[in-house]
Amino acid sequence: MNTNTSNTPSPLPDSCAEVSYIRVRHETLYRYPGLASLAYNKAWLAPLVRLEQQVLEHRVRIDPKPRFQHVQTDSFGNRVHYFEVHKPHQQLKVTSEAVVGRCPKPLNDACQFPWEQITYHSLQARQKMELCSFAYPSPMAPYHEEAKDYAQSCFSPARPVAESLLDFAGRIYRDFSYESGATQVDTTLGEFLDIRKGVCQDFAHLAVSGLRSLGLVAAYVSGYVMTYPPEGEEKRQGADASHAWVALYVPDYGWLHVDPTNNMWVSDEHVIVAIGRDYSDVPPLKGVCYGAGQQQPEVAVTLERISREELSYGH
Amino acid sequence: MPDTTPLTVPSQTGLDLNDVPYSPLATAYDEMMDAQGKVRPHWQAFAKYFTGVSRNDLDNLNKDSQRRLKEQGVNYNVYNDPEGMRRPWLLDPLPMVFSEEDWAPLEEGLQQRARLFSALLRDIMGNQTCLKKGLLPPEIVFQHPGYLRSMVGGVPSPLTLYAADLARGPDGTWWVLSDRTQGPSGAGYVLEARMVTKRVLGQGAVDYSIAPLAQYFYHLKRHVAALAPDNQSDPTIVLLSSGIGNEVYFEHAYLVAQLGITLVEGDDLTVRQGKVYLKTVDDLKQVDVIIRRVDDVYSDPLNFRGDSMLGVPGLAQAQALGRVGMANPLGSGMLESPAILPFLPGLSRHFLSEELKLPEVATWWCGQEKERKHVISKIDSLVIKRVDRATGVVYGNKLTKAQKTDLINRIKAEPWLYVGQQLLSFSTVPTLADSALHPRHLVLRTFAAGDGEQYDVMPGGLTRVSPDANSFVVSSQMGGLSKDTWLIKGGGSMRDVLRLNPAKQRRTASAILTSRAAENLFWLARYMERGESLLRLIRAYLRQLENYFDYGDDTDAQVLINLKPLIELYCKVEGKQQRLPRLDVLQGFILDSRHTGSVAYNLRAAIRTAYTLRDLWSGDCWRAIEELEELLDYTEKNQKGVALDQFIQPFLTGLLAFWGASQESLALDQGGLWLQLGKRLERSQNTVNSVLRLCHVFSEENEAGLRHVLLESNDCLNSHRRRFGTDLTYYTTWQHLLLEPTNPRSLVSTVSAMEPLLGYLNPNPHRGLMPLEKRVLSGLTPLRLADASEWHNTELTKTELAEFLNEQMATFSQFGLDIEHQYFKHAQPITRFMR
Repeated sequence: MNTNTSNTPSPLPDSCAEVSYIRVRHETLYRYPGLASLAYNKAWLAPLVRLEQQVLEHRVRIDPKPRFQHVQTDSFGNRVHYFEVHKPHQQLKVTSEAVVGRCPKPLNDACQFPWEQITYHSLQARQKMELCSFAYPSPMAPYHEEAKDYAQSCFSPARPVAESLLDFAGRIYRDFSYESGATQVDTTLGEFLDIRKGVCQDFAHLAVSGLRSLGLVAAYVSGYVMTYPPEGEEKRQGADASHAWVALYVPDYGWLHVDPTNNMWVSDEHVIVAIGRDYSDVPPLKGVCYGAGQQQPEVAVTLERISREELSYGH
Repeated sequence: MPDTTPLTVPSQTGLDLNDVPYSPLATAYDEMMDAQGKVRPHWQAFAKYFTGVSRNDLDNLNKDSQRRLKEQGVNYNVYNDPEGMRRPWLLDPLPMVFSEEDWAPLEEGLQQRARLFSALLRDIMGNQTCLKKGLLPPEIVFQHPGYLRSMVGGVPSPLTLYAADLARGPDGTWWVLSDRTQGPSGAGYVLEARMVTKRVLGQGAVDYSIAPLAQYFYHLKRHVAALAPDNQSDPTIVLLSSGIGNEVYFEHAYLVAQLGITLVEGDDLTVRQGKVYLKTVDDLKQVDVIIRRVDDVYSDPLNFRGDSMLGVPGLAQAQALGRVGMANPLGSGMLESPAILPFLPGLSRHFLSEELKLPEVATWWCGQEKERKHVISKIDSLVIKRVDRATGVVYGNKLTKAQKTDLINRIKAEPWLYVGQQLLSFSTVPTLADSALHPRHLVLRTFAAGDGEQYDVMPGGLTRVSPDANSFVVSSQMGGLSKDTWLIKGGGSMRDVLRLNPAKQRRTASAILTSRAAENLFWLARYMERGESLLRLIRAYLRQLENYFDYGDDTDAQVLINLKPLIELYCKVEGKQQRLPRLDVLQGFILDSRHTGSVAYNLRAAIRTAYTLRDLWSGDCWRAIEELEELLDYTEKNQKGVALDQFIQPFLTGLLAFWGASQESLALDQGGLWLQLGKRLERSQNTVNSVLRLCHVFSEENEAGLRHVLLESNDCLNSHRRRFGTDLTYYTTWQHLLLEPTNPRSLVSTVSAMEPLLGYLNPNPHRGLMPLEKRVLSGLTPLRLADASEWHNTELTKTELAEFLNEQMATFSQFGLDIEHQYFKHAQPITRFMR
């Protein structure tokens, strides 16, 4: 089953000197212990179309073939794939394949303002209305005293936005260790602050919570990032994972993305998929099925940089 | 004010009710008496009714109304209440009375409000112009925990059902306290209150013409039916209930019966291709409209709260795609937020270009700085509410210092979640308490149904009064009472009623039996039959025991010992194995509902199941079920010191009453079939099983006694005597108990009674028998062909009969599984995942 969910490709801005093209393959496989008779799912897998991100191609393949599917746009502007599988099945495989063109979004003067000038309360009424969801605590990024102290220490009075934000990301990067499997999808922020290790999702939630507690407007972003194998080793298929980071809203700039897990600005090596208040708004895949029994999915993500030629001669 | 009552009552000062004085409070508006102590004109007929009434009469009134409610089986479930499902709803038999002059502006105001909320809902779920124009602060919408983001942008739906709680202040003005937009409850209780009140007060009091309620329900159904996609002319409508655990489950069951629609729970529905289907015993039937009584966030485990067991995955998509009508739409719960109240006048000007007709009680939303400061500084004189809780109201003046500090801190941490509301001194209405009339504060819940543009308001509504004069809390959960509400019509109004009455109310599709209901009926019957069968067995055992005590005959002892495994077929005997079960153990087999398999265990299971089918039972049938439950309660409490066999007969009689009433009132296609089928299958299995258990233990000493007990425990002893005299041999026993077609309790009669029931289920009889019919026939034919003389002695019984019965047993077990598989396949465990 192929479904192309991409919009018409958007032109990249003139300012973008060099476009890097990335091919993404994201496969999620559920092997159920029992037979599932019916399954209902929602997937946030389609990359977002942005000035700095062109979506050349996107398709979602679902096996077994869904009896019904429907693509909708959620209230944050993400594309959501709803599908129903009616026939009994032992496993469910969802494969998302995309080709995007990425270019960095250079910082502008607005990113150099003192951070106090860009809080939610300093926004105009119309912007407030559009960004209200991102200004307050949310289910998985609740208010937390420690997160606030953390953010406060980087956002010292009148410090420029970009500098403060990168410092904040760096601090999280240094103080917490990345350990796959240390946390689950439902691990709370408090638990993460206690054990001080986790995955990108936890890093992002901490950053989101900290920024919002200062009155800033912050979003959780789900996506992918290119990874490089250690020197001399071949890159393995599926070795990458789905990724998440944080974005701070800067008026006259837009969303300023930073990746605390990797301590870097989000650039042309990241693919943006969906924006929400936290993970619970934009999980790559969620579902309900009957009779199957609980099972952890097998997830494989592969990102590869491709040349312009490969693009035109593509499959 | 013109006299609107047909009675002419001489003007009187004060109310002289002989022994029944009534004195209103000085601080509140009284509905019946004005400030000068005069009875208001529209209350005069009511007041006249009480002239000459004594305290004793009042007492009787109260008792009478509670008795009638009990007979109707009206309950209000209180969570965590030890009385559980059977806590009676408290009704005051004295009505609240409205004049047309008082009512007309309320009706108009409510219609306007319903239109406004409908427009607001469409806007919030659509373009959100009210936010863009700054008429409503965005936090009120986006930070409401019940805001359903995923419903924005779907096919717009109107707010079909609307309710509001109103109270009258000291100056006589009606104020809106809160709005109910999600699944307003109470309308069913109004019907019940009207019925009971009219009957209790008798014709004398209801001389006036009271605006009838029937029309409102007609309009309600009309508006709901109009939501069907594709203008379906004869839509399938269901009421989605959260089930027996819901506090107003009685009302759900009552309403579906009134409206002629189907009561369902989440498990009964399934979404396919974005359409909603009902799981019936035959197949999936498409549902056109859902009257939703499950809260927004519990309605769909895929889209909202994943831990909800009450919802239907994909329901949100079905509504958003416009493939099912929803009353009220998902997302409407948010409109109940009291934070919206202060902004309503502006919203009314924007959406309706009208000034708001009904004022709401002064409300300050803490999301605004000035308002927050006001609330915190005036907290002692305010009511504090969370924006997302209909209940859980906090009275500032009732808080301790520590509680107050705690609340203020919570408000400061998340101010957008709180409002403060002015405390209003509600009006009072005469209410029966301690055999006298007392003023009690009232809140009126009003109801409207419409299409978004035009609304029909129920004349009157549900009046609820506080349990004492100092309280303004009227919640039924807190012990408040309800009252009927009478809108007194002037002359000529009855003609309007007749004219408006629907000329041709087409016979719409009747309620549909869900697969779950069928399964529950099937199992209810099996539980009942199993309990009954064990009761009869224990009774036969006790009679045998009596013989043994009287004559000390060893063969009787032998019989008793051999009966033990038979009883254990139902009930596992725990602990040290006794040669004979002690009497107190036997008593436990009957009355200990914690003992798996006991009579009480089975009957409790049956009664619990009966509650989930509340909408199916006729009044008499429900009474029979309740009487069984009362009997269980009573005997459990008073089991000490009563002879064991005295328990048994009342239970058997109660069960017979249930079977009689159900057979008389429950049509086959409305569920009776499943009840009959469950009972017959269970009885067949019990008979076969009990004979099979005994086949191997027959010996010269016990055979006569065991045969006697077998016949007795199957209620065949008397008919056997009439047919065969005192001759009680193997032949006569097996012939009569198993093979005799003229004995209605014989195995062959029980099994053959299932044949026509199954024939009824066969959708295509002309194409031959269904597999299920064949299965029954494969058990029935050998029974019909068998010859009891082939089992005429102990040896043959042990070999031939045992083998024959083993085959019968296998057939019936398989038959039970076939039924489960073919008709009850709806319930499956659900798994959620997220990655």
